[in-house]
Amino acid sequence: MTTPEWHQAVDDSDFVVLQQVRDLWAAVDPPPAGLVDWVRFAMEPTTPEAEVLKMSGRRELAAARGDEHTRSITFDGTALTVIITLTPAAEDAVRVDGWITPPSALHVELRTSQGTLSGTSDERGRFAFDQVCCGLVQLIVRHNGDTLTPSIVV
Amino acid sequence: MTGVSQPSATNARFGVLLESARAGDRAGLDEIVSELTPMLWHIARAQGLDPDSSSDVVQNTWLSLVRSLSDIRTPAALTGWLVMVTKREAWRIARARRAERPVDTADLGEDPEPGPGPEQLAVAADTNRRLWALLRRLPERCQRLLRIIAFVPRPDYAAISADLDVPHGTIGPTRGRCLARLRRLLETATPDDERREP
Repeated sequence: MTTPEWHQAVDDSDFVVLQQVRDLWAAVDPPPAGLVDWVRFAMEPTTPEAEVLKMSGRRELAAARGDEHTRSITFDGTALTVIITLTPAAEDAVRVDGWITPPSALHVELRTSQGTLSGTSDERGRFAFDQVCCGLVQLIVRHNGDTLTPSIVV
Repeated sequence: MTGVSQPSATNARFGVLLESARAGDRAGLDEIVSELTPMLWHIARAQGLDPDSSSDVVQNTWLSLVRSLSDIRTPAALTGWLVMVTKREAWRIARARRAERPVDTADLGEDPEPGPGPEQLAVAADTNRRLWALLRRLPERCQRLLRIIAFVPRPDYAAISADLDVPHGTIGPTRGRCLARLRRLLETATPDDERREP
């Protein structure tokens, strides 16, 4: 529903005020510097036919000591759910353990800034990439059509 | 005062970018992403989401766009679609968060105020500090609404702000009233505040 009287009421001085509000928020709470790159990375392989999983849960798993911590992220879709666990491995590397439900053996790819790692889930839906370089990654599950996750920083 | 862009030029450029993106040109889409991501970010933050969740919501919106791009033909339709998808998803997550928060942490405080903290304001220019002080005198719903519409591209403003006037399940104050209240505050605030230079 449009409101013509309001449409007419918007003048340049309104936009000057809105510009000030915009400048304020842009200065005090800007988006993370990497956000545009994360989005572009994730959009690269995304096609209109692909299903994009939604990140539905993030969990920091308590570590006994030290700075290192394990994270678990859940991605939900209509046909499948993927849970990945990220564990610090060597310097600048993490181990990615994944679990696809309903469990099935599927081709799985992990896109990283250094190239794509390929693997397969077992019949219980488990898969792993044991040395993943820290940075931006995105998981792609190939089955009837592709299923992709958003990109995440590991 | 700078920064009041020429609506027609912006609109024409977005029209060209949208056309090329619809034709499958990823460079066009990339440029749209970098132009409009700040708007989506501020929508998510205005719903009270933390920075991580806001980033997730923004990314989710852009990835969903790939599927819907073929149905979106004008820059105004694009902006409107992005605003609505982001707002709906951010609102959904914010509501789910509130519902699942355990009772024993309820005393720790409300959602972190989706506004600048003291340290952010400390580095902000005087004009921003003054504006923030005035904005805080508006109802919270007005603050959120103004934060969102401030980032809507000017050519799409009228159409989109009309849609934004329909909050979920409640009759909210119109953006017109919010804007008028802020303008009144700006006009009547003590001139001493205004003269102080950074």
